[in-house]
Amino acid sequence: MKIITTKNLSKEYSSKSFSKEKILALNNFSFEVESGEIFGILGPNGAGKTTLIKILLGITHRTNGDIKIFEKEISDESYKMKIGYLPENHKFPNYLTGEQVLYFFGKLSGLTGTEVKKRADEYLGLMDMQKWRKTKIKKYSKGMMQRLGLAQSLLNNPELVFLDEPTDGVDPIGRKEIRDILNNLKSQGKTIFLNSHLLSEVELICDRVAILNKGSLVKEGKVGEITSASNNYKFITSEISEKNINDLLINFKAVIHSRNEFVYNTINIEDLNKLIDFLRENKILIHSVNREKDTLENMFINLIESQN
Amino acid sequence: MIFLTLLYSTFKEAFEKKIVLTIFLLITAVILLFLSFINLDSIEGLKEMLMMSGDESFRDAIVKFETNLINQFSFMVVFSLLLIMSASFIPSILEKGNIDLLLSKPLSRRKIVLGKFISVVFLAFIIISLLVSVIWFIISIKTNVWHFPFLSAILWFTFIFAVMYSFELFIGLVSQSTILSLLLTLFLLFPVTALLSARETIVFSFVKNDTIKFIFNFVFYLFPKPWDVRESCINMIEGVAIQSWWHMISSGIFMLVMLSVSVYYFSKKDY
Repeated sequence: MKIITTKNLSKEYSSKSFSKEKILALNNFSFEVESGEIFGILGPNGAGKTTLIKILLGITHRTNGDIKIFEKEISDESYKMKIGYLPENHKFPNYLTGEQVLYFFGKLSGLTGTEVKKRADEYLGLMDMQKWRKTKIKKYSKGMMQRLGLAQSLLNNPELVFLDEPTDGVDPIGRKEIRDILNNLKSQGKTIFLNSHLLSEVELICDRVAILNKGSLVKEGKVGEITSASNNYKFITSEISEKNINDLLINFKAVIHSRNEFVYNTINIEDLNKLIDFLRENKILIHSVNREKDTLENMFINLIESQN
Repeated sequence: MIFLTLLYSTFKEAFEKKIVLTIFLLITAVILLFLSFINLDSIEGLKEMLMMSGDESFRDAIVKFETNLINQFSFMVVFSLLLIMSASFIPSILEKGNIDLLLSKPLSRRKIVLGKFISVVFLAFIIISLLVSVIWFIISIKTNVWHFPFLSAILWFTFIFAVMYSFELFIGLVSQSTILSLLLTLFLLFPVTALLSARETIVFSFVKNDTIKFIFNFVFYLFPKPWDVRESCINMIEGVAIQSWWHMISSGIFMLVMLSVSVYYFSKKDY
């Protein structure tokens, strides 16, 4: 089942108030998110990621295009009963305690007082926030605010969760815990729509990603496919003489990192063996050969640089 | 359900930000001051004086005393305090990070605006009720004159507040600024509507130009009329028949227009 479907989604902003000059924040953006997957949205600053999330949530209005969430047009507000949202830099009223924040937003999500209390207990426990529940949130650290925000977004037991930078300000242990929670949600069949600058994190937890640049979709696919193995082979060897380094540079076009480390790029396995033969003939000992994997970060940087 | 939740958040915000506490302290100070003026000796003295003059009953004098309490100065002070109290409610929900969360919840934008409006007016109603009923009770206990129409000031004042707050809410939505919405609303209350209300007695004695007179009259009919509604309130307390309900109706229309424009603006705005 398709949880989110957009077709030719566009958003234009006026560059200044009362100005006719328009900025295209989203340009004919079409994509789909399947039920039960963790979908990541990537892009440089100003690419239109947050605008996209805000349009999907009805916080910002689209200029053109179709959006369906749970197979219904989003003009029908009822879909919001089944979603959770953690905005980037969320701001809860700072005179409330953690417990009161959950009560307020839980009630606005349509939960009864008993349901809010039960789920607040559950999620504050899950986020390791029980002992802070009666403390005013103005005393919370950034990490604690993120945990509380995540608890708030899950309180109504949503089928679809939008998370905008969920691990922002959270320490590495906390990040690992949040990743575990997200994987747990996935195992429960929930769909997660994630926007994060931490590409290594996206790579670890997302099933599929879409890359946005200047409001347009530039790449979309499964993380495993996007980050497929590259044709770079990294060699670590014994020390290589000056003459042999020149041969590597001229005859094999290798990229030399140091006297005992270089990278060779080839799609032909015979060429790779020729290089190994060359090393052996010249009494250069091979300590290791590793085929490099193209990380999401490398792929992302290369893609955006080529676009710009 | 949604209204109750918004009411909860409004009351929580008002109490936690010490706004209501400050207003309560000011009201208590006014009441204590009032108590110190009204002691039994002065009441007895007033009684004797009236009996000597003979042309006015004691009850009428007490009613006159009550309506004198709603003079222009105390009217200004009470409404300034109420408008100061209410100015931050809309800009605070529009803060980035907060409004995103609110709009992602399953409630329409119309409900958010109207829910907040009703919550704040209800809060003002409680404060006005406290102020008016305590003063009425003290006067009644001290004089043994239980003049119930004085309590109608609670509803009149709440209505005037609702009208002025609809304007403050609209400016708050558009400007997202507490200070600007407060200043413009206070400016509308005094001098704008005060001058418009007194245009025939004060302004037109200086201005002879018909075009300017026409503009003043036109703006008068366009804007709310808190000072004229106050006069109607005094008439009702004194038991004088209210000649025209036009001031009430046109102020009510102003409030409905302000609320409709606010809902429309909020529904179209991108956050």
